[in-house]
Amino acid sequence: MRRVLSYGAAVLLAGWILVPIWFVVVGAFSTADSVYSYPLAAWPDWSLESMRFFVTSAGVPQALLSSVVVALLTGVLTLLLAAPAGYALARFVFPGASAYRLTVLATRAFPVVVLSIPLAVFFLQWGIYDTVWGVAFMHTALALPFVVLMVAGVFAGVPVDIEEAAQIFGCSRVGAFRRAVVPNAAPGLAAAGTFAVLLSYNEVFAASILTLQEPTLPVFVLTGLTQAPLPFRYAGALFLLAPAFLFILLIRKRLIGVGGPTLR
Amino acid sequence: MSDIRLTGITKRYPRTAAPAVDDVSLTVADGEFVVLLGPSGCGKTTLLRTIAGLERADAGTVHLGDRDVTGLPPRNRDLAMVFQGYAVFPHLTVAENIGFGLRMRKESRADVEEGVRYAAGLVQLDDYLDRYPSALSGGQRQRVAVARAVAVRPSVLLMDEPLSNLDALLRLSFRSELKALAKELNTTIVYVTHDQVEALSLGDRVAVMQAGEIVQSGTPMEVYDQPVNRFVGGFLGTPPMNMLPARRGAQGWTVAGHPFAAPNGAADGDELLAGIRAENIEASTTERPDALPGRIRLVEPLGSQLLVTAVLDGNGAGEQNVKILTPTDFPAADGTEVWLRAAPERVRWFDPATERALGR
Amino acid sequence: MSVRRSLPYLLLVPSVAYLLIFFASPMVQAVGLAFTSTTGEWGLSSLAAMMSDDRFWPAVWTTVILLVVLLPIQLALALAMSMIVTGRLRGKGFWLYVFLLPLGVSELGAGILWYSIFVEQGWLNTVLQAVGIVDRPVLWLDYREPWRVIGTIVVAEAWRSTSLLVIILVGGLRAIPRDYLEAADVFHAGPWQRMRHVVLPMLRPTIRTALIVRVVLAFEVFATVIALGGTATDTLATQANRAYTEFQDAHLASAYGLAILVVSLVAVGIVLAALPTHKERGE
Repeated sequence: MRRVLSYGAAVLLAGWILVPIWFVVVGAFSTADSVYSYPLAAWPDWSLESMRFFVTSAGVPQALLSSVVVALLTGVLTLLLAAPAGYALARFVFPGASAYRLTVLATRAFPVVVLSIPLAVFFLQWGIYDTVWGVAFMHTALALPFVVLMVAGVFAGVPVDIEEAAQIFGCSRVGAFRRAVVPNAAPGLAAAGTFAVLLSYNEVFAASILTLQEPTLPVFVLTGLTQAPLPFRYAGALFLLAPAFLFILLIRKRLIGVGGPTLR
Repeated sequence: MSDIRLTGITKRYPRTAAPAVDDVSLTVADGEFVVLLGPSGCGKTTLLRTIAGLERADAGTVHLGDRDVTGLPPRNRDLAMVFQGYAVFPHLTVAENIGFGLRMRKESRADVEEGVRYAAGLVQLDDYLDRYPSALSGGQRQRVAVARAVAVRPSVLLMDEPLSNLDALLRLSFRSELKALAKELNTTIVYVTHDQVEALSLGDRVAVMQAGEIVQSGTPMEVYDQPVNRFVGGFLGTPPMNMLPARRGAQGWTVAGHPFAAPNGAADGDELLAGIRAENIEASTTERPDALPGRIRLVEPLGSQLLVTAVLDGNGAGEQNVKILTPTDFPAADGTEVWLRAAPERVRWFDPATERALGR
Repeated sequence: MSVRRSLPYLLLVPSVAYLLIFFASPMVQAVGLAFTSTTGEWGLSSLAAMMSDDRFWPAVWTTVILLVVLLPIQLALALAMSMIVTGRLRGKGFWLYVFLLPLGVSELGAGILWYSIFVEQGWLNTVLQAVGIVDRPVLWLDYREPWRVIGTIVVAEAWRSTSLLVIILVGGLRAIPRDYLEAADVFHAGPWQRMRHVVLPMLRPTIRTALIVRVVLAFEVFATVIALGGTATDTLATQANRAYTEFQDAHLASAYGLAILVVSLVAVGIVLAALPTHKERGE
């Protein structure tokens, strides 16, 4: 009896998650007429009308490009900064390691609201306001704490003796890192980088503060949201949501490591 | 090939009071197979890693051949190492693993291939060259580690407990293979283990370590038969050496209250420890003169022998357990009376206070 | 310090420097901005302007209510999901994937998604009517009924951001040694008792972490509110955004930012006080 209840609960919860996603899919792949009709049909027309409308609307291609560029910049920048820190945390025991971890994590306790406004002022002074660089810098600062911890976990998972073996058999420390650690850490690093990319792609508050004429996609959709016609919104939603689902599929195994012991 | 000279190596780790390696000096002759033997934490692995260059000593020098390599990184020391966990590169095939050192030296492709074939042949991995380590068993991965080390034809070969992660049966067969390989290679080898049977069977010389120091260094038989202190006597041998307290009474030395022949001009004091190995004790069920009487408490059949634990008849001097190895047809049973004797030249005497063997 | 000893610290320099520039100094600036007026004088004028705005206190209340209502719901949902994922049901990998799906979902995307559900001619009404619970579409997003709108925001946020809690809780559940659970079974504890006396107490520190994380992130909720509540519903975050984008007033926006920070800290303090660790309880 208990098992039936458990399965029932699991199905209910899964449905709670999945059904709304299905609704988005339907909404995005319906014709404008279907979107406005009532009651709504549970099966979409599989029309590309709304999607086409969205993608060709003025400003959308640029915003989409902006989002992608910012996300990629964020991914690369975050990894470059996190790699040395993650390596230090994984390989060395030194006073200040826990303090560093805590402090870095604590930066996420401060609302992005508080941070983005002074940065907007800074960026105006430095001339990078309303550019992809400005938003990328902000997003990197937001993603860095999590990515550092993820990368530390990845490096910790590569056994030390592999590095030492590389050193014995002819590599310098840097060479050993390059030839022994990186190839084995690559999947984990890719996951961490993708996390940063996704975080950036989704981020809307800071991006809205830091852009004006060159918005990222979420900002663009947001600004006109209340006036935008429904098909536009739904197609936009799908664009915003799709990368996430793909991402989770790829890296769900690694996520558990950040909060606690790793998935076996 | 080169010899190894360690002088005054000391290594401390932060937050521990005692040094991991305390002023150790050791010379390994060219082509010699030396085993560093000791319990966990005695410093043997640290010492090995210092030779390798993976650890830097706080004091002392390391010479390989006529070069002072103390400050050099591992790759400049012309040595190779087999790690306890094998440390085989998971992202490379067996062939690429074995050839790694050769490739790092920028040898020509032909030379690399030849080197790989040679090394793989030595460890019978010829058919596995294209596999990845994840498709190999633990024993096979260990062979890859050995092949990788052999392929670079090092002057010095270091091994850090290479057999300890294998199951018992594999360990035995590998040990023989390693010994044969060592003979064929004729390289200078330093081998670390906590398994004294391994040490005795493999090494030309055994250096026993305790608490960061080398307490005795000698051939396997020397270290086994003439331990320099109680620790070495107890650490080597299965079962450990029996340590029987002996006391000087009015009529001479006694063990467990019975007369016992002690060395002439023994000690100034009145107490000694008699160290006798289980296989050197003669046990008999008939009474014998000048034998120690006892009663059998436990019999453990080992297959080829019996491990008998007897309790010496105290005679007022307290109980004393003795372990004896007897042939399997010895009529041993719980409670049987036995008389135990040992040839005087087989007894090793120790000072109970300093724990050092007499005459050292 | 030799090069060797200082190596770890050197490796930390890039990230530390980056965070100093892009986090520490903005923080300091933010405080500075909040305490100066638009004309550049020191004082509380920006703060005063913030608090005298009609929409300030409603925004505060809405922000707080959203949090207070959301937390228990999310905690319960996350606990249920985590127990399913670590329990004995089959298909654990599938359940895990599904429950974690919303993790990477953008706030705005989720907001629009739920808008399409709650809008008058949207999915919820379609389903309700089809099943016969109502015979006319209900106006869920009625701006005259602020509670209803808040309700929709709660639902949307519960859907979107429970996954993070699930990750943290699963990590904590996995860390509970099986021995404890098996011992409870041996001593005839039923599942509920096991939950109350073994699992929950051991999960305390994890729950605390999860709550703190959730609390902090809750105050940033912004796009969902706009997607569902339009311009009629205010939270501190939307107000901050409006102050900057509409009024071009960085000082006012920073004042709101500080308000958020204060409320954040108070909420975290409450969580810490309500769930002290063993050490703090003097055990």
